[in-house]
Amino acid sequence: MKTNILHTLSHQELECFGDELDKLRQEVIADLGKRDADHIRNIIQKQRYSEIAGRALIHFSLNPISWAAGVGLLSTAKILENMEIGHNVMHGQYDWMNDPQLNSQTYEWDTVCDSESWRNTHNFEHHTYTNILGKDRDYGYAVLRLTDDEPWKPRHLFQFINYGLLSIFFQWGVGLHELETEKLRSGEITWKDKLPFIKRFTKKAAKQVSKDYILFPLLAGPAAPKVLIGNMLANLNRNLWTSTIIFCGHFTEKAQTFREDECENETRGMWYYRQLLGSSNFTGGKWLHIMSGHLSYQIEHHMFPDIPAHRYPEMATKVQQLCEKYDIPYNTGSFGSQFKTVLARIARYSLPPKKSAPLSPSVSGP
Amino acid sequence: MQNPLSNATQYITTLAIRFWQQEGTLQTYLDFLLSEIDPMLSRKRNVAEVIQIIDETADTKTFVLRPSSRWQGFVAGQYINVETEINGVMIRRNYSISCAPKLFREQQLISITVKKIEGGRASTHLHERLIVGDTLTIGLASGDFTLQQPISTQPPAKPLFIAAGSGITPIMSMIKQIKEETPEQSISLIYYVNNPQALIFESQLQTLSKSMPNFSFYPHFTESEGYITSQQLQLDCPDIAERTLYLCGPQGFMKSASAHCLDLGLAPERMHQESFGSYVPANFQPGTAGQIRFLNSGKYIESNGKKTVLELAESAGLNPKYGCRSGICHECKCTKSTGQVLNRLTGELIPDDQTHIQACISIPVGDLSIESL
Repeated sequence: MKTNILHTLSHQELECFGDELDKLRQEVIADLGKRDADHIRNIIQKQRYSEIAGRALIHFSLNPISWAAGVGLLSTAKILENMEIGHNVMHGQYDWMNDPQLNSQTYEWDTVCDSESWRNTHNFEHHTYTNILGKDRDYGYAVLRLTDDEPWKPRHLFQFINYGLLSIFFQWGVGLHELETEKLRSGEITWKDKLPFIKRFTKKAAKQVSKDYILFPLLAGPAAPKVLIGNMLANLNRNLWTSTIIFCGHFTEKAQTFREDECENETRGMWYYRQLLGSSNFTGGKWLHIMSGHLSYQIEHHMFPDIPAHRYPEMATKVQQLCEKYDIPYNTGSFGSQFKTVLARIARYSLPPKKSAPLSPSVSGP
Repeated sequence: MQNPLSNATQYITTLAIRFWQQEGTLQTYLDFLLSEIDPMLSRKRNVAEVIQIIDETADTKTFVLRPSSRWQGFVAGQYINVETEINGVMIRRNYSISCAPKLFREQQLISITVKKIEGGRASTHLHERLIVGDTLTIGLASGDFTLQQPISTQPPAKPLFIAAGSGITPIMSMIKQIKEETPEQSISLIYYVNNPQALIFESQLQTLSKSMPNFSFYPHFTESEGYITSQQLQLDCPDIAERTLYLCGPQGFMKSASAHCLDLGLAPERMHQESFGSYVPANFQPGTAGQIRFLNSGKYIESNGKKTVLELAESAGLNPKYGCRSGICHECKCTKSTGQVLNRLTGELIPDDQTHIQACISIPVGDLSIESL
């Protein structure tokens, strides 16, 4: 699904488009203040209450219902921490607050992925080279074929299994992303090169595993098994949710990919344009957006990764107006419909390309 | 053969202690709950409640604060780091404590006296927004601008205080301490302000000069008398060369006052000054790489010889205490076990045997181990 419309706008139009987005960015930056600080602190407060209540219910539950409620609350806390807090804080969205607890460089989140590794693989690689095949290693996570630009192999017939496994163990997939297994297999890099990463990862993973699967179960004494299972389920729920949200952001039917040569000497306007075409949004209520870390506004997130994410809804209105003005497609839809297209895309590219009928749908407006 | 049960207990205890110390787990959540009940209960932050706000002059207010029970007290002349949040942004400033240590000893209260600076965000916020009952995050008392203890073999040198503007605040604390401890001591205060209306602590100073028989107070008003001169100093304090000087005020004032005092024969070692102005970093060359070990947490991190101990500790996932991050407030002081560090401000190499260092301005030179942070 490679774009062939990247250069359909004239150079001047692209630059005007970029200037208008820069202006929008500056307006929001100038307006950052108490509202944004209150938002993130409010979410942190809710997340902490949710985690405390969740763990307490799992520990002290007397019946399956209260235990399930505990699992639900702990899952919610983990999702909030990873998505609206951790992911966004590590993007530097709240660095301007000068609060050491919310500093992008020192924040450590509740997942086996080491934050330093995340800052490198996600903030740098993925956000710089979004959907550029061969550069953005998030594209298909090296286990899924999602475009005809990648040659088909028989193993792709079973990629739904890979997708299922990736979603179930998503935090491990994200945590081990920097290992670059595809490069290790091809011999491009050696295990020795990856030793510092492996050390960091092992340390973080050990911390996470011992917290959820040793410390808290042991603190519960004889109730250890239900705590262990509860924590496991909460991590699973978080994994499935985050995986689904992220897949809806870049792997929907209309999200486009790019070749390296298309992006050479890219200007600011062209960069914005690529972020727009490579991302997809989904609509929903306030809490769906918060629980997705506002990655439901993936387009705005990719254009403005370091602006506090709760600003994206108001920015999206202006971005959509600009898209209409310049006649650029703005990829959005309901959560369900976008997710269906993700599944359809995984299914479609499980099969070899058919030469008679083009696989890529023509890209049109929203 | 060891008892497996005791081994398991030991393992669980070690694990629990490690998680207790680790940011983001048990302690963070306990502190969160305590702070939710009452900010003053926080075990990680020093919180102080505003008890009273006193108008000293048109642009100067004294804030009487009650720090939480964890706060450790102060020596007259020291300052605290005050953290305020202004439109979502955390701002930290140092303010001298203006009360006598006795107030804290007897009533667990302290006071800071803040002059509203034109365009100053923190001082404006404190003046315009802070009300009785609010809480502030404060640091521990810091600073070396304190009364020098007389050496027993020598007769104590009489103190001479020279202040300008809000530079009176630490000096006020020192004079009050002298009044409590040695009220008969001969002391002089030369205080420069723009005009009589700008005189901070006027009534308190008048009362002190009446109750302390050997306290000489010389107020000067620059709008009518002009700036400080050697002649004026000589007139106010003819035995200036015999005194121990405590000087506090704006940078320009301190520069000319100290030059006049030296001209009048005051020994440089008897001159003590306080300045909150920013330091100019000395020529600093990136040092040697090495490994930094934080012994109490078991964490370690590689240093490239460019980052400070504080930055490295944070990168290692620790949550050390800090305040100004520029070498002023000493909140981040830590205990060095082995290794050398470079003082980022002065370029001075801190030797192996100096154990207490400021994490925010210390750059490791090679391997370093930090005992507690």
